[in-house]
Amino acid sequence: MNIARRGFLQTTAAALILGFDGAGEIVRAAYAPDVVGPQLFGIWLSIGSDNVITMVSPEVEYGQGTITANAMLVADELDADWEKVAIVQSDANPVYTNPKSYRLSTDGSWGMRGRFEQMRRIGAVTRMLMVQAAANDWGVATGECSTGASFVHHSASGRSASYGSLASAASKLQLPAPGSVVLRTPEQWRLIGTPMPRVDIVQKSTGQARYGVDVVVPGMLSAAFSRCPVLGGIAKSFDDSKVKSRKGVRHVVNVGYGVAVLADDPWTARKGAEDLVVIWDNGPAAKISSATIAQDYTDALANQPGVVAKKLGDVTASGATKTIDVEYTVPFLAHMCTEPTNATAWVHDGMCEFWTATAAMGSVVKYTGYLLDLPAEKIIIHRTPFVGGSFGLRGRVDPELEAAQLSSIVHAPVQVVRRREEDTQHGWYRPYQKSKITAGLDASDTIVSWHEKVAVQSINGQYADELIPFGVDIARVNADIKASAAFFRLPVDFYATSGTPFSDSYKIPNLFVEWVKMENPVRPTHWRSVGISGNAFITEGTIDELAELAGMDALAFRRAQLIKLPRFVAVIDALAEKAGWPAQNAAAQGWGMALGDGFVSCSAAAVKVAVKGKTITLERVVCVCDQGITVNPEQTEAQIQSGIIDGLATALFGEITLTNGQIDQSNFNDYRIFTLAELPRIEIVLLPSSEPPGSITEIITPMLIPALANAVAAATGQRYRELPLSRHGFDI
Amino acid sequence: MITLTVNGRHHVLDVEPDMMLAWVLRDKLGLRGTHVCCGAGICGACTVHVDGDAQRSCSVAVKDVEGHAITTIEGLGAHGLHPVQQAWIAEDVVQCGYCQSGFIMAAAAFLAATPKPSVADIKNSVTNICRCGTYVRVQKAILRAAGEPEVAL
Repeated sequence: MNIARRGFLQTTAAALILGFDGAGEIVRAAYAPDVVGPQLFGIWLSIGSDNVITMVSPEVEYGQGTITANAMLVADELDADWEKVAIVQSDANPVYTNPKSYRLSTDGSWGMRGRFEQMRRIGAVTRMLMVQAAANDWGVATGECSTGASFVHHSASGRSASYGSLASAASKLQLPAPGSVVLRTPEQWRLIGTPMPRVDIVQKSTGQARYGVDVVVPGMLSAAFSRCPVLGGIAKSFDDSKVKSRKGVRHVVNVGYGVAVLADDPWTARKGAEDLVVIWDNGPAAKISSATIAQDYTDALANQPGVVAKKLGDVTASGATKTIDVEYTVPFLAHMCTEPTNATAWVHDGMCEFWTATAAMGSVVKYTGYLLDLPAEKIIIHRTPFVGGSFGLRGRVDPELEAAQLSSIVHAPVQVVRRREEDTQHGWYRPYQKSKITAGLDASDTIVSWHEKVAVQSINGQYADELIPFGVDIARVNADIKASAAFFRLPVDFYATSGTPFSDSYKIPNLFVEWVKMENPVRPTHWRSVGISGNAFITEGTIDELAELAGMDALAFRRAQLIKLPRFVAVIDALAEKAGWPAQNAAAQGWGMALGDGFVSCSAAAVKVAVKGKTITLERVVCVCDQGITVNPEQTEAQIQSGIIDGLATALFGEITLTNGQIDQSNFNDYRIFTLAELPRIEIVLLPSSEPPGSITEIITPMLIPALANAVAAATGQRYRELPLSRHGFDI
Repeated sequence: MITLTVNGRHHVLDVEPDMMLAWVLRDKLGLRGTHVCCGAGICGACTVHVDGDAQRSCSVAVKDVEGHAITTIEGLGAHGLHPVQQAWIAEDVVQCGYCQSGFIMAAAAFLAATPKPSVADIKNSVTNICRCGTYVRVQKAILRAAGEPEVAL
């Protein structure tokens, strides 16, 4: 099993699902598939004469295990020999648009949510064609045939044929009528729900896996930037006398948002950029620091009216007998992907070719169109097999645009690779947020009112901000984007308030959530779970404070609020059991918890800490998740472990701050990530379910952030309403 | 001219003496299994062996390793998979994978020096950063490679 090299995927307007490479020749069957819906046609797999089945994953693999899961879905219905399955990344053909998110993008945990049915139908239709081809050849009824391990069998006559030998004939058959495709029931699944090793495990354990930084295009120049330390500043002038004398430097280009050194190799470009002397126009951001941003947000919460995000009942007439008023703050966060962001582009002959592992092919095509005034069909994306992490960042396509712009200037293929410090200081960030909440309990300690005012930037409204530094008319772009989908015309940014209480979790009868849209020069974007990453901490901290107000145990209080919601109750009860949550004095023992839902999944976490002075010891970390159907338990476990570690590190250390328009953090020395030394013992419960799959990667991290903060509050008796905990002197 | 011995092969290279080893390996010798992440010797993604010791190749000047035996991920399992790689595969450790060559090289050097480590030894000695947080399985894989797969974590 391996990740096949690209090659057979030459897409055409109408669709094919089969091909075979008999004598090195590709043969295809035209196909108008009901498998993917009427508007979507495409090439989904190819079967070689060697019986290797090569499948296509539209989702990019940045660690989450999605290409393994996509292959499992197809292979299960197809009765494929798993040992002879290969998988490649798709190109940017719109046929690969996710059928549920409607985007040509890997984001929002839409992989399994969008592909669960589609990929299985592709496998099922292919299997039907194989059986039909064999039955025709043998002159028997299809019902007499069976399949297994990429073979069709006719037991009555003892005949067998490999899929590879049938592919050519199968590719010429009429496709089954839409209604005749019957998917297997869960009891019939062979792979789905079975722990399967990652398809990329050997390549990634032997140094053979290839990433964007590994791309080599003949004639390619390496580009490195000197960028204004102040956000949004531009280069007025530069002195490159020291740079030009360096052997291998080919061009020095001022593109405004930075000065690029283009050289024969990455090291020369990097050293050249270090040697540049640039005079910067810092611009207006130089007046802005974390303290001024904090004051702006506080003022906005006090003085600016919000727009209504959620409204139920009347918070001014809730009948609450006890209330609390709290204000919470979460910081900007960086993604800190291990692979520095990068892209390779070549503008030539009226087209633009990219070599990139972007998560957002759709944005690359669209924004490059604006940048270079090219039609979509002239923008070609060759995807590299892997990307070294995303956590939301690789949905932003500025490296691609920079490479394309430079290539158009120097008339050669250009590879942009950023330094770690550039990624940390000139990237995109989970937005800073302040929320002010007044919440109340009635006489029976039920939450009856919740008024929350959220001050945060819009992510949704700044989808195309990559284009701003290039001088593209952003108003026109935004008008186009708004015209493209109702989602972009909503008055409230969905992300701003996702993870605040909602009618389907805490059923608070009088609920009012309003949003004040903030602006600042720190560019906002998606970060693992987006709005929930901050709002879960705010919501679950406040819920903890309401439990204290009620004089109740944190877990018992939540259970009482959620008693009518069986999914939450099951998660809470599983958490209580696994943790051995004490009936008495859990808080005094240092237990904290949090729960929530999002991305169709539901999760809860409990953390037990001991705190001596300012040193936190993580004694227990327990996490329960109901993600619906689990396609690959092997990777779900890995993602839960990943999400837990991310959440704990974020609660403790995660913070981007600003001084005079310059981001203070630069690298892993001052933006701390856990190492083995901080790894706690982790206990996980995955609840069985027959519901369609939801997220795993985005639901765990946001639960661990408040679970740890609540545990520290329990252990110390002191509530910290601003993250990270290191800001209050804590360490681990 | 710099003379380098990498994975048992000798190379004579026309490179700046101050060029960091990681870039030489990747861009001059085409050994792209070694990845640069932090570029400052903090994270260990670029770890290679110099005379068997783990070194962060983004921060080692090539002139300082002339005459020393350098091993990269490509040369680790010279005769098939190294036991650490086998353990990595058995525990299905990787996620995005970008840091994992360096992690494997660090673990292999650590185990060569400490063949029967305690969990505390591992935690104190293997300091690489994995942003995906593969540490649970990294720890298991190191114990497995040490022949201690049943050690309670």
